[in-house]
Amino acid sequence: MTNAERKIVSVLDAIKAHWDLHPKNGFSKNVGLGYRNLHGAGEATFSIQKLVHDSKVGFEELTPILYKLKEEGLIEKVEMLNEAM
Amino acid sequence: MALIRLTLPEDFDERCKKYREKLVPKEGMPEPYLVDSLENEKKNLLLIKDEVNYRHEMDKWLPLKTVVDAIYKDLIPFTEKNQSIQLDISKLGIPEKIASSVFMSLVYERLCRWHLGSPVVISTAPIAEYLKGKIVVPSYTKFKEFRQKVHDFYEFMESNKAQKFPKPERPALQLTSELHEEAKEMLQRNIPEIIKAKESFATTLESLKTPQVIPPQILQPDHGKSTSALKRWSDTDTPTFDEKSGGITLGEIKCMIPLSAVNQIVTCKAVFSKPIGEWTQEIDVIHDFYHGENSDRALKDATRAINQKTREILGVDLFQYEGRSRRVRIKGELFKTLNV
Repeated sequence: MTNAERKIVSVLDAIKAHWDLHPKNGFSKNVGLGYRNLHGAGEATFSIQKLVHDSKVGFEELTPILYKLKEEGLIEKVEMLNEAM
Repeated sequence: MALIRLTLPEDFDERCKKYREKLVPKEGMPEPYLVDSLENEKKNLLLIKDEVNYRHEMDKWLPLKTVVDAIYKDLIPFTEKNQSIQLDISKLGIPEKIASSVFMSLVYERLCRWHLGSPVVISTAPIAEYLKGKIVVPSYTKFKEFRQKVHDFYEFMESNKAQKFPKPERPALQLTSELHEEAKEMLQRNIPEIIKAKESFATTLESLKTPQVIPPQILQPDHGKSTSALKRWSDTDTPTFDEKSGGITLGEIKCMIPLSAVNQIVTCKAVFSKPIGEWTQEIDVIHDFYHGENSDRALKDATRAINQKTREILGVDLFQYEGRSRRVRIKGELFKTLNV
């Protein structure tokens, strides 16, 4: 397992941990904006700072990893909500 | 605060798991291998032709048997799950390094484990304690089955050894005839050795004619069947048993019972824990025997084996077994007579 792969897994784990807090078929009140439908699909808003903190990857490394995960089919859409990234 | 919105598919969890499995190699516990190893070793043993090599191979497996037996001895049959026991490795007679390897292989076999510490605090303390003998056995039945397999394997090794490398035995008749032939040969040869032997025989006869006073404390008691050398124990001595060394001491003489002879040691412990002459019932000791309650005739055999040793070393059959009542005791009359 390469270092790059280790970082991807780390980001994935951080996203999953956050996503698991969202209740199915409802808005997540306590974990920020987000919605999951009955089947579990949906969208969630992440704080980049928290994602960087949880995954322990560099700030500048996060975007390429997210797009890599999109390529792999794990994420359907990545949207930046401001110009920070 | 910088935010990012991710849209995730409904089967995100599953995709996540698969992707993770693809990247992260499995770092689980090794699969069980000991039972297969025992089977393979049987085949290997059949191919060995040299007795020394065979003995060497047998010795390699002995620590496993010792450890498994020691754990099993401390297990209670009434509790199926998660029995916690503490072994003293120094008493097993196995180097600590080897014992640790055996313990680890028992973990891989899912037969033993160490106790779990706090799930929050990651520490190596539990495994260190485990390797020093603080063991948890998750399933009594599973451990019992494994022990039986090890025992069968060891029995196979022993019986195979006996078949492959039989001990040369000279039957008594053959030995007698050989001696007879030798004597005949000697008599036919009129050599100075014969004359010397004759002279020595005459001296012995003379000395026998002279009455000798033997002090009572070194007399051989009549109860013993042995005609071995004079004894070095007096009428005031009583036999004692040392559990650690397996030695029966009577006066100055020590008769060793091998610690590996579980049934003999258990019998000695039980019998010596009572006053001399008092009976010990089979039912009181059978649970600690090698085969547990399935030990048919084991007390009788153990008594016989102990007596054989005491007869050779101490000159007396120390134990008495009563088949009708299935009980054993130290022959009290031996010492009563001497105490008169």
